[in-house]
Amino acid sequence: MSTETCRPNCCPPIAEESTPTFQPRVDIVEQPDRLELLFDVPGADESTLEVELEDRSLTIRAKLESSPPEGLPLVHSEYTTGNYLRRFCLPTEVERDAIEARYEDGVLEVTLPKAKAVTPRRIEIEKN
Amino acid sequence: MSNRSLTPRHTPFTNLEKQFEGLLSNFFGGSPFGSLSSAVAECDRFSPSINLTEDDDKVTIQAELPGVPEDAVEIIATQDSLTLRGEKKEETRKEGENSLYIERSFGSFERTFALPAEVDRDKADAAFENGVLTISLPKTQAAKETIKKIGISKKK
Repeated sequence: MSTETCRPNCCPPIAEESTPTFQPRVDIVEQPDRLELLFDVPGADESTLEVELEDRSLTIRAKLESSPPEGLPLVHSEYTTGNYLRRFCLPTEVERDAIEARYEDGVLEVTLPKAKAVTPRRIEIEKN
Repeated sequence: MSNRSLTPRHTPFTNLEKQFEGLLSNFFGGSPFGSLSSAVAECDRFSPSINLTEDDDKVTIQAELPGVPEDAVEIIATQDSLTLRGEKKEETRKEGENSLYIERSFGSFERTFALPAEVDRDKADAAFENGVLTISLPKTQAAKETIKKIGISKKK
């Protein structure tokens, strides 16, 4: 499998409300039996995290909690609040019922085991 | 909604801006060319984004530190500056793995910035939640007193 087959954003973005929407940075690592996805989503509230798989299209959504304390003027700002959204096509079929997601320290980790049909299998050659 | 509204949260320029801060402070210290090349090389390195708010009583700093454990961050406060130091460690890669996409950045970081008012370091408070570090620094009495409303006297 080449990197060309897995392009984040190959699916069109979804229409959202007017709140600013950010693409979280992602690392995608392919293990022989699974895909591991790591998203940097600092400030995302755990209860708003959504991982959705439709056909091969995977969508990650999260709401950023209002970051600067309410009503206070920002003296210096390098990031703004909004929503996180990222959607892309998976390069391979996965076991839909065995997908796991974990959230810790602002990082969302999604593990998608590959479908049995696509896991590499060693075929023994019979000896005469 | 158009494609354009989906913006990366951190552009390479965010990091460049931060490196520029370092460049300026290094300029008079070492060779400017040395620091320039290291600044370019370090563009991909992790550096936290910071928001700073101020009200009458305190200065609040928030830093985005996804994937950085609590014990890997050091906060050093002086009366008028704050330094954040730490390391975001990369996951160890095993054999047989195939990295399809690597966008997240890693490495050690250090950022120092001036505070807009004098603060009482002993009453500082820090909390870490969902990868965002919030540091609250109460202003000193002297700093609070510098804010003074000036009355306008009427001519008789």
